[in-house]
Amino acid sequence: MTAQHTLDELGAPMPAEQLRETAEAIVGNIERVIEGKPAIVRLALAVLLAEGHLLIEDVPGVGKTKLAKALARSIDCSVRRIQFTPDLLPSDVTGVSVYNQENRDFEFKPGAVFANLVVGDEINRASPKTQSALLECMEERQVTVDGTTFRLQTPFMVIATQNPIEMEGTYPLPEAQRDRFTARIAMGYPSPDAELTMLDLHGAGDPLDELSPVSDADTIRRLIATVRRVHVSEPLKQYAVDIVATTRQSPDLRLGASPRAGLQLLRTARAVAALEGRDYVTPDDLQALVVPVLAHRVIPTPEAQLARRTTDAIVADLVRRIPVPGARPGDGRGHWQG
Amino acid sequence: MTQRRAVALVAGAATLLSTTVLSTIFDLYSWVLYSFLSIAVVVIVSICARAVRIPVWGQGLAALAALLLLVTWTFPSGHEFLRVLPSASTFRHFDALLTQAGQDVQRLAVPVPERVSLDFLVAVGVGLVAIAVDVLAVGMRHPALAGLPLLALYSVPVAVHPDSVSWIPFVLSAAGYLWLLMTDHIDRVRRWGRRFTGDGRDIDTWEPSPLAAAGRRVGFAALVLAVVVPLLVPGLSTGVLDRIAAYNSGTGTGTGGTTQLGTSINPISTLRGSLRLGTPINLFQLRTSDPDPGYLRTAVADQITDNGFKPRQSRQAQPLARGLVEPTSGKPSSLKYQRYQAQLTGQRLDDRYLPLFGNPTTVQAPGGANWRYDADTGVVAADRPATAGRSWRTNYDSFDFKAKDLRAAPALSSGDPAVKSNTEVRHIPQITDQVDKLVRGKANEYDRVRAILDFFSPKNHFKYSLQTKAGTSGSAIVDFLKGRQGYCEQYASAMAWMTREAGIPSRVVVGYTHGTRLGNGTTWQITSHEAHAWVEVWFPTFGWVPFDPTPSTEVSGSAVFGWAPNPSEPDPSSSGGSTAGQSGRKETGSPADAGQHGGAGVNRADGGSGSGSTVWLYWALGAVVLVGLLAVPAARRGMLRGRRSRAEDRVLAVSPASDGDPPEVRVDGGDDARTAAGRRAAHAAWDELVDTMVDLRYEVPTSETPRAMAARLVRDESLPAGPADAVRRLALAEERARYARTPADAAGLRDASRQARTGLAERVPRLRRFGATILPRSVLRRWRHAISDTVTAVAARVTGWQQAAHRLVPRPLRTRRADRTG
Repeated sequence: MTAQHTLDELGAPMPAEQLRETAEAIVGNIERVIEGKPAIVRLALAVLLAEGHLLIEDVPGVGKTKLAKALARSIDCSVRRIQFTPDLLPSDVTGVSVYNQENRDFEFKPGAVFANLVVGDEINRASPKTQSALLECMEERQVTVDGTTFRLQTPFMVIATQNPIEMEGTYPLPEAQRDRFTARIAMGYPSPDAELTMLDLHGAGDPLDELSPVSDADTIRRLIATVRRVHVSEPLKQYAVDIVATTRQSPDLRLGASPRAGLQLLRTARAVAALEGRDYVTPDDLQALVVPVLAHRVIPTPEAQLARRTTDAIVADLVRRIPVPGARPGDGRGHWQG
Repeated sequence: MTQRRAVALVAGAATLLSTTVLSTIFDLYSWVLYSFLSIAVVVIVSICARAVRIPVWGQGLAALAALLLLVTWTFPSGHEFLRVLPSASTFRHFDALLTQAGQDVQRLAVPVPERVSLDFLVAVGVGLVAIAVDVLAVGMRHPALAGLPLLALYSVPVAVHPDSVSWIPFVLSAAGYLWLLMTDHIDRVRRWGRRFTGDGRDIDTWEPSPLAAAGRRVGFAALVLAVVVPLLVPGLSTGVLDRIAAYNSGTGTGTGGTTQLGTSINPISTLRGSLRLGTPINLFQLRTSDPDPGYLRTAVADQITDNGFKPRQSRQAQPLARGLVEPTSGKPSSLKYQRYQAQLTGQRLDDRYLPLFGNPTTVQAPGGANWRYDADTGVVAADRPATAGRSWRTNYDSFDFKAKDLRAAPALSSGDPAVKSNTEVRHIPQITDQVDKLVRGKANEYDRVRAILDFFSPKNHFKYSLQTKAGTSGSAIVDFLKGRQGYCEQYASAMAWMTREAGIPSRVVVGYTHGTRLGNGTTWQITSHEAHAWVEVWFPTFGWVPFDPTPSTEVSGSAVFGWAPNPSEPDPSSSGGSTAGQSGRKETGSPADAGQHGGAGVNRADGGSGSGSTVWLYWALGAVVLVGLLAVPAARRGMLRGRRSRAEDRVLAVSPASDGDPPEVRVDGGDDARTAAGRRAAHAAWDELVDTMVDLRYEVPTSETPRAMAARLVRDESLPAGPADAVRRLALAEERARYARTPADAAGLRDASRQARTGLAERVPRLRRFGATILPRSVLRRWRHAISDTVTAVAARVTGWQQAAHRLVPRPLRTRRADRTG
């Protein structure tokens, strides 16, 4: 059985400069595979440092799996990949107790989630039963099989990919499960230049093979410890609450963001701030994260759907109306237009 | 674009419709041409200016320039370049025209004849209104505000016109205004998007929507109400007739008879009173062969009273048909005179005294009354008013008395009937002393009269005023001689009184000056402002010789008597002989002395020359106060800036001397003094930047973080490196101050602030920069919000009190009873 790390065993926090260097190294490593998507790569790393899970949602062939694998490869830690298929069973994910005839006892065979990084490919192709098996692991970082609870390692991150186009024979993720993903990102097509470079570089072989780890689990644990200590001022906490509350009041949204969303928003913001070498969170961090962290959790009203308004656009629009904490534009009110 | 053009054209048309009200004050229609030209030029130039996308103020300036060219072309002085480019003489000419127009406005009564000066005034005034309307309605898109200049244009004739103005121009003006509003609104709706009916059909621009019907109904109802209500309410139609009727009932003792149809002059001359110059009323016109007409006499006040003079009651008047006394009879043969003819036509004048020149030889009185002639006074009067709308002719002699001849006049003989009946006087010690002092050592009658006349000089602090000073002596003449201000009645009465005190026969004559010459012809218009009073003194063999003690500068059409210069004029020779040749009349002068006619009107301001310096002082004071008030926001802004720039110093003051020690950081959350000061310094620098942006009209959304705002500024305004760095630095400092555990180092924030301000100011037009300095928006808005906050707070508190009071008020008795019994 692999070593287990509780949350208290993260190790000493890292100085900001070292953190930045480490992060840059990881980002740089991943960028050798994923061309021209630094923001996406950074966000993925931020989610890892925020102890969250990542949902990558996009059309086939834009590098969803590659991003997940590149991130996994860049860190020297245990990595498991699950290809979700309709016949995948929950026990394949969590593990199964097998009768050992030598010991005359049941022995637990850990499933795929017992790893630092779990890459769940095409997660929406698995049956809801299997999907929900992943739920407990993601939120509670533990697995319970036959009444025995096994703790998962730290860092633990699920990177799931799903394809929104081909819906035939898929089981779209239920709301509860979507809410467990800290962030959802869309890869988007690469820019023409990046695509050209990609043709040159990746034409010969898979660059993933040449990728070597630049960090290890211990370092990541220290990074996580550092991120936890990033300062969030009181007004910013209020700001986060305001943002989440606004999604619940918006007439365009049928379902607003959950309290967990606010928590994860702030946590990811901490990671983003740390990645930029700051020891404090700014509203800019929150604003930048509103779409990836909140958009996949909310459900638009039928009217908004009819108006072809995406949840991305709706939450982005909402956050633009909330005054920034601490702003004092002259007399502290309204939108000052010249 | 074409739609804006339509609004511009409608704005011009609305202005043109508003000018219709000018028809009520002009006799002829030359003003139509000038207003049309002005409006057309303004509209065309504005449209062209907008076509080449000149800013709004530029459009206004272009229209102004075009208007200047237009008036230069239409009112040339003869010294223009290429006939349209104004030169210095053009502006002098304009100045003269404006001065003339000012006088005409004072002097002429409606309907005013065609005069170049007034046409100039119309062209300029209408042009300015057209520019204002165009700039407001089309340039700034506030057509509702354009109603103000239109209202100004409309109110000028209404204020000038003594009668109530016809309702038709009002309807036209209002319709023009509504048309402008409607056109602009259609334009607005069009800009907003396409219009649809309820069933989804597209609506044409000019097709009215169902909503428009309601608007039209409201507009129409408002217009009808505005027209009909004043027509129905009798109390609102206060025309001039009511005013004159009120005047007549008020004076009561006036012997000048009046009817409801006209006005007349009161022949009583008093030593006390106040004169109210109303709107001038056209009384009569004069056509004479005399190039320089003197005063027209109507009545003679020769009986002394406590307060002045009044006409004697018992008159030995004969029917006019018996003929007049030949003026030359008994006069020395050496006396030169000219015989002139005059025809007078009554307009609003309706008097029982006939205005005539002195020394008439023949009078063809108007019919319809029994006119009688008093040989003693030379007055022709009827038993009832009979001059309105009638005309009469007269021939008269204009004598040219010489001072030296008058000096040589024979001594007064007490047996002379003129002496007997015109020397009665009430002896008042002060007056007797004063007269004695004046005439002491004067050898002959003329010198004595001159001594008394010259006493009324500005050198002795006499000045013209429509209001006498109240006195306490109990005697009107003593009060006047103490107060030394008054109008013609006081001057004439006082001089006649003093002359009589010196034993010389004299009397007060009431009448009119010659008024305003119409065109270059021989016709003169006399209005109610030309009423006047002066003195006649009896010289044996010469007869009655007129003298005018009233300061001539204040009397329009004041005559200059060669034998006795006006006391207010600098007198080159005391003998007066050398000036005898020039008997020119004063053409200039401020508003005429209105004699005793008192119409309702505006009190005339004290225009005495002595008060000139005080007036200027007040103006200067007012200007200083105004400038001071205007400077308050800028001063407040400067104070804020100073205080903020000192915030940095306070950080240094708090911190221990910089010996390299890192500042103490308390992680437990509380700020130590230095941290707090550092935060304040960063906030101050950022506030300064935000205020600068507000002043310079940059956009400052509250949902933007410092970092984002700095990025936007640097990106959108393409700031140069220096200011861009400064802005970023300020943003970073503010960000740290707001969100981080410890603020950034405050050193250099002030310089960054200054650099950012300079950089931002350089990116905006100069005008905006100037506005930001003079009237900083940040300060003004803060004040505005503070006021509204205060008002809201007060309102909330008052509501709270009200509710508390409600609670105190016992519930209705029934409920209480029910409570008790229950």
